Amino acid sequence: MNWVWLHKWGSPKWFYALSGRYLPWLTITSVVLLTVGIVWGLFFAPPDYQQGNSFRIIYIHVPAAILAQSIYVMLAVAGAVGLIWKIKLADIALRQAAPIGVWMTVIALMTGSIWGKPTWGAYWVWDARLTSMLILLFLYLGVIALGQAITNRDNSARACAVLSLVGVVNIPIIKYSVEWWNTLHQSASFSFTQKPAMPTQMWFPLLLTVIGFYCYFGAMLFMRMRLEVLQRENGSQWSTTEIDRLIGEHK
Amino acid sequence: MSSFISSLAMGGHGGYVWTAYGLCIFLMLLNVVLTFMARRRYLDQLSKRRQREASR
Repeated sequence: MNWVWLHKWGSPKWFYALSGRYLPWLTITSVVLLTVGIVWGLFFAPPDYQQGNSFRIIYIHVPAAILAQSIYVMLAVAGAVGLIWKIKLADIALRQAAPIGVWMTVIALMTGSIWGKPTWGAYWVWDARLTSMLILLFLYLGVIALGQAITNRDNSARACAVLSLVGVVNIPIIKYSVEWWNTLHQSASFSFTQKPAMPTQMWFPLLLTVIGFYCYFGAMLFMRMRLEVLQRENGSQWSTTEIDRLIGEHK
Repeated sequence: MSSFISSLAMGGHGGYVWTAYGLCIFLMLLNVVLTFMARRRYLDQLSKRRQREASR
């Protein structure tokens, strides 16, 4: 197999140019999808026959939770790529995605907790799904703390990659927790592959916000990675030119 | 107007729904702002350093 494309993506300069081209589109798509999805979900989707209007929290809770897990899988993939091919950019991606993962996990836990009150009568229960999500939060914080504690860049990258790979075992636990244990948390109500278990009027806005959250993540990740690439490449010809341009721009 | 207000109340669930959305949107925007500020800070730092070097 030809790996040239992978090495191209591994080049910071190439990444900087390409991500700059995609960034505006990701941002626009994310803003449009989130606005339409949220307004639709809040005002036009019919209320749930059991939960009434509290179910509308689904339009932010489910995308945040899906994204929180996807980002962790991405950390593990970036970690593996970094370990195998020694690509700097994989380490940058891992480092910059982790804080976004923290925030998504926090959003999922908080919105879930608020949703729990009217639905279960409690903000928090030590349910398998909730507990495994809390562990996901600690794993993210562990990756970040580890990355900051080790000053040698190569060692730090390797340690973060290994922790991300080990921690990924928690992802199937989160996913199947609602089936393996007798949980209070309802089972999955959204899937990309299966026929939705709710009417289109309820399901479609959820699809929009899920894709919108992914685009938000893409845009945020690119923004954060671009800054770190600029910092790491400081001194090279192209980054000096780019920094000159950026400094000149806001004067 | 009153129908608008009653639709905001969401049959008693309004408080929960609006708090959840408020927190979520606040945190997502905060992330964007912090990222822009970090970039700002880095560029300011570099431009100051360049001025110092130029005046030497």
